[in-house]
Amino acid sequence: MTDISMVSERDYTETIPDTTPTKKEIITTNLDEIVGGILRHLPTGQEHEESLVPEPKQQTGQFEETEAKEHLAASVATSSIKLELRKPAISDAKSELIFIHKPDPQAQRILRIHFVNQILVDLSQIQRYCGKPTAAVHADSLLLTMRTMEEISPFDPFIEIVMALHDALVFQDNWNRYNPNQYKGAYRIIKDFAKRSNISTDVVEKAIMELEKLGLNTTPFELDTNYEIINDSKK
Amino acid sequence: MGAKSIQKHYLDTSIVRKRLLGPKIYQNYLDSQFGNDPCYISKFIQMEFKRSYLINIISFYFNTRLPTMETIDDALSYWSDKYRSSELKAIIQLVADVIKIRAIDFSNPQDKQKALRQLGRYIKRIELKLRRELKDIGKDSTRCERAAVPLKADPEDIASGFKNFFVAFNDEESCRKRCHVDSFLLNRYLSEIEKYVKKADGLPTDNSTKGFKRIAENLKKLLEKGGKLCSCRMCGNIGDAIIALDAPRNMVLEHIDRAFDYLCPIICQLHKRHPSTSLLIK
Repeated sequence: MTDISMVSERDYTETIPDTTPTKKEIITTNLDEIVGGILRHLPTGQEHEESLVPEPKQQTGQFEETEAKEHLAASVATSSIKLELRKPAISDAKSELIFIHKPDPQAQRILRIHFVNQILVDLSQIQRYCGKPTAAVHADSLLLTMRTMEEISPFDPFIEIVMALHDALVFQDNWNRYNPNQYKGAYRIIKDFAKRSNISTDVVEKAIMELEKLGLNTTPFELDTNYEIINDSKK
Repeated sequence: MGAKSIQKHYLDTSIVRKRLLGPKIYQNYLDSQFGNDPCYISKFIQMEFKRSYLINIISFYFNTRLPTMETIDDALSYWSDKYRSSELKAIIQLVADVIKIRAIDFSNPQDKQKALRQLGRYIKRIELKLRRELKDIGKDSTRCERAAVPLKADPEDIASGFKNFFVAFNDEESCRKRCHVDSFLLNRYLSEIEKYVKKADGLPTDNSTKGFKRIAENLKKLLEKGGKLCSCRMCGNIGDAIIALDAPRNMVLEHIDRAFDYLCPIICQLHKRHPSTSLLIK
């Protein structure tokens, strides 16, 4: 079984064929890729002991791989007809076809649990290795998982929280500047909010503001200093 | 001895901008100034931030989304070549940073959608921080309707949300019809406005006074022509006066603009002028 950390962003971007295929070919290719990719990357049973528990059936504290696969296979099979062909944004034929795969809520929840389990493992490990060179091992894995999650479930509301944390960590390698307590707080936020069945806009905003309160700047980008100097000089 | 009272800070738009978008050195400076003291803004200041920043970056979002922009490189080049004002130029570096951290290929058309999602999330997050990070002073004297326009963008159709916001925010005629800025300036604070105009008449024109004198000139026109002159454009010209008049008198108005050095003392408003970015870097 392929470990999630071995899957690069490239693996997903390269699923788009170079030559212009028919719509049917693209749907088949992408669906196979999505389903295959999801099934390959389902939990291996080595998750962190505090992994998320799907509600309400799961009571053992560990998500069952077989059950997850069955759920997911069924969900993806039934949701395959929900593949949407969006209105073209670009006139070029190759760029016109933008497929949005929307798994049903149960499949989306399974995907979320899978990725969140991986994220929690890495957040937990980074706490232990903060400030040490070995922290990079988990930072790399963490960021890759977040990006993969965004590629596969771009419209899961929970991804808004994940990407807020991603941006706080990535810019100027800030992951190396945050302390164990901040990672501990991020772990708690990701874990607590991922458990929620209904992730509304308010919930997303609350989670992001909790990250901010920890000192994790989710918008660390700066305006060009030269232009700021010009702007100030007018005042 | 009684407990030391906590100082409340009322941030002008220039300070809000530094706090949310400024260089790290400036953000550290502001942290050292305010510590854990509560910082406040008004709805009008939210509007000024949206007008001067959020609208520009949303425009860039749609600029990138254009069918003619195949790649992020295309969008950045077009924006850079087409627009010359410092406010528009200033966002290029920031936008590039926002997108770059996703390891997006700026020259690959297939990465454009990913870049738009990333940019869309950033826009929503900065608006959220504007709304939630800084406390609202709890009064809305001008009843600015532009400030009341919400930014609601569903992740699955973020562009529609941005467009609705953009259209409503820029519907100045409709917003003006519903706001109370004329009453705010010409009834509630009429005597203060007259004092501003009188003060400006007696000042020489130099670098330290030109901002205040420009505001006073506009206020003078307003006194002469009345409420019909009120518009969103006028509020853009006299924004600092509105912010000073609307400031809670028990808070310190924190600003960079020199105009406040004249606007605040006349109305007995506590205030503090902070250094510009270039002064701080020196």
